[in-house]
Amino acid sequence: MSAIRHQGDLLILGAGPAGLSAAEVALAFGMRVLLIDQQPAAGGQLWRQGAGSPWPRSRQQRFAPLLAHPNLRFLPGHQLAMWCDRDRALLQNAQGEAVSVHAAQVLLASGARELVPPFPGWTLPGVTGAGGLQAMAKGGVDLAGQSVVLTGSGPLLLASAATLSGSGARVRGIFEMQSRRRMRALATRMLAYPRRLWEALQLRRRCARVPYECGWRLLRAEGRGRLEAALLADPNGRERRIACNRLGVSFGLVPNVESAAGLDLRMRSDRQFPALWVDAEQRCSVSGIFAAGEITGVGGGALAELEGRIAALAMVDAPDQMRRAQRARDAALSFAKLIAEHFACTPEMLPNPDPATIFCRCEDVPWSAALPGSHTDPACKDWRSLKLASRIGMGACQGRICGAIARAYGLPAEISSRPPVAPVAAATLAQLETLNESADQPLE
Amino acid sequence: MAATTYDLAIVGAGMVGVCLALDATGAGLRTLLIDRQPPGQGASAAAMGHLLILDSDADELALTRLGLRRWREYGELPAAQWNDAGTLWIAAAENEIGPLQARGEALAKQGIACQWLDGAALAEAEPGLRPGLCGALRVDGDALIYPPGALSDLLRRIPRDRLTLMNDRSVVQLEEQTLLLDDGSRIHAGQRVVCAGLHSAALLPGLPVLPRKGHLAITNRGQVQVRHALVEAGYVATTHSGSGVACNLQPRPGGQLLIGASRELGDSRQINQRLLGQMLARAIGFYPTLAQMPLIRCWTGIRPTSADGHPLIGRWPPLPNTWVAAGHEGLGITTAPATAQLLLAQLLGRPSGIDGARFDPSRALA
Ligand SMILES: Cc1cc2nc3c(=O)[nH]c(=O)nc-3n(C[C@H](O)[C@H](O)[C@H](O)COP(=O)(O)OP(=O)(O)OC[C@H]3O[C@@H](n4cnc5c(N)ncnc54)[C@H](O)[C@@H]3O)c2cc1C
Repeated sequence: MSAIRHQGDLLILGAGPAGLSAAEVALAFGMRVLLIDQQPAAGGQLWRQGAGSPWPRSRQQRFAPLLAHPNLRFLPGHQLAMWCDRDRALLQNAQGEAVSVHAAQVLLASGARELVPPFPGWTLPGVTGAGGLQAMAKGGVDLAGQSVVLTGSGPLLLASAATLSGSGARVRGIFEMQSRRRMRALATRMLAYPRRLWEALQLRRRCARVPYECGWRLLRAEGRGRLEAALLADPNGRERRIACNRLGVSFGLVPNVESAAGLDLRMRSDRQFPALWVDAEQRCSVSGIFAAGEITGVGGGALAELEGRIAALAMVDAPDQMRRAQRARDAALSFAKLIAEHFACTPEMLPNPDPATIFCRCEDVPWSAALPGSHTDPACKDWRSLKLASRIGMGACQGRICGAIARAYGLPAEISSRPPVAPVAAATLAQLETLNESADQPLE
Repeated sequence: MAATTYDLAIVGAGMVGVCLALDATGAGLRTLLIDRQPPGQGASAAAMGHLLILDSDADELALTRLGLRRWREYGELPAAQWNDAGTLWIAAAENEIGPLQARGEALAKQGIACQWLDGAALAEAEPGLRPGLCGALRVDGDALIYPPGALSDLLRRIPRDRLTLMNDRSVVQLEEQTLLLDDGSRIHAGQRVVCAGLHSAALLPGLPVLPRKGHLAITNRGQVQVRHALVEAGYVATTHSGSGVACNLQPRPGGQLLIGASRELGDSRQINQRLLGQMLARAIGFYPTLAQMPLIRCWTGIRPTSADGHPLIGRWPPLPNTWVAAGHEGLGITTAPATAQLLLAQLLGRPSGIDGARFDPSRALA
């Protein structure tokens, strides 16, 4: 069996707002586009479509023709295994087959994932990411009548509450870690961005009866075999037990830079989590590679959409449109900065795991083995020693999950550059033998 | 700063250096173990952890055998995840049966427990193997360990009143009487041993240590119940020829399968995609269900090897009071304890228990 091969002018990794808007521009300029996503449908996190939430008409009208365009090959359910070269990647499709894709230009638009730090009880069934819970609702999982607590920090909590309320769940409250003062300050500053403010108010309206509490702390999840209650501390430090059967936790977003592993791209280090460095036209540090959206630093859907557009415009050379898009992008960037500042998550806001709390869920490494110091002052400062000694980050996630958590607690966790980017079948990687023999020949 | 003096300075805290430090402190020597990084992060971290008897010649047999014996004598090593798996040397073709059986007889004559399994017995012993294999030689005493765990267990055993561990300093030069470190300071030691793996030649010019890269891959947990280390008969040939791939599968705790082995000359840690693909295809050929098992990680390691395939263990005549233990290729985890015993005996002028003439580094100077 040999690998399935696809070739195009532009390879887009990620079919969220950034990837889709880039595809839109590239197609308009006559490029042949390969659009890849590991999800079964286009949309990414923000525009996720599923049994529980089809796309609104406007989005459907905008993107359905695009996905059916003769010059676009949409490859949903395709997992990136590794970059074989700067213009060639090995993927695995939903059937487990190896797929090789090749294009002169590459756009990395693989988004971000949520940060769910460990706390006592976090491995109980019923505890998930807040965004994960939202995705379940959109995917059609019946959450009607379920009692939900949402906690952590960031705008994702509000968006999740809106979706979940709409699907009939009883959201008991949003428990934000940031102080009320800070959230008030944000609201005031948002007056300068009426459109964004209006969007936020729309979300709030969809979950108007859900209390939005600020300055709380997450203590633990409780339950026998399954989540029964969330234990939180209110701003006065009083413990509150809130009965629930779903706890959605999110402490912000982590750019999916792993999908650039092996490409040797420059990173920006001005953020809590590493993100890809790009120039004003979304070019990465290696020629022919562009990046847009959360992978370049978390900034939300509107910004991602503009960045995707700019990247594609840079490839086709359209200076006027480029200038307009860049102006809009700069405005979106300043809003993104405002959000990032007000939701900046400090280690003190993170929950306190017990020594026995599992930290690395792939290898069952407890918190005590991983961070023998206190949670804000870990004793072991060197990620590689820690990995070899405790096996943290050595499991299926290869540190994608536990490494981000470690970084949130101030440990200098390194990003694995070892293939594969995510688990794929041995047979897929065995294709490297023949893929490389014919690498120099032009594809069909 | 007053210069501290040590009886012995060991350069390189890989498996070889750590085993030697354990023996040296046990013999009462005030020992310095120095590495430019935390212990065990060189070749010893990349290794498969197969403790095995190899018998290409009497000397290799003696060294691996002593190595295995000493590993067992270390007793309880909690982090080593010791597994008495034994090795199955697999004959895939008819013409591999004869040589493997002869090898089994030779090993048996040396008192090494082994047994011939015919095709049916092999299929019963490891049902996941491809049907139709010709048979296998089972070497019962071989074992599997997790080298980083074993290394930290051994390190913990060393009495701290006799050992100084320095793990953020690089030795840049061996001078007549001292070691020069990268911060410009000097160390006095009565004797010094270089076990710096691949980098030993940088300190001992003329030492014939070459880099031989290998690829490894590992599956997710919960995949298989393989009982033995599964190695194709042709593996031994690749260890000598210098390049190629051979099927080498090892069960890890939790149902992971560790997949080797490839060989090529070179010291770049970068993955050679074609060779990695070949290695995986080879392994799948022997263990078909591996094809659909998820791999979570592929990596490379560099085996420090010598020009003639034998490790370099003993005195290094160009410099006074200088010794070397390097170039163990794919056997350094197995033979580290034996190397330590041999070298320390030479250092102290005592009988070592095995004949070390073949390993004498001065052969490189001839
Ligand atoms: C892919 C692969 C699989 C293998 N599988 C097996 C197996 O299954 N069984 C087996 O027995 N063996 C195996 N081996 C072989 C084994 O790993 C090596 O032979 C062994 O680890 C060598 O140990 P060492 O102590 O000599 O070297 P290393 O572990 O490399 O230690 C050398 C140390 O010296 C330090 N150093 C270097 N230069 C300096 C300097 N100037 N100053 C200070 N410190 C310095 C380094 O930092 C390093 O820590 C395998 C090797 C590879 C690559």
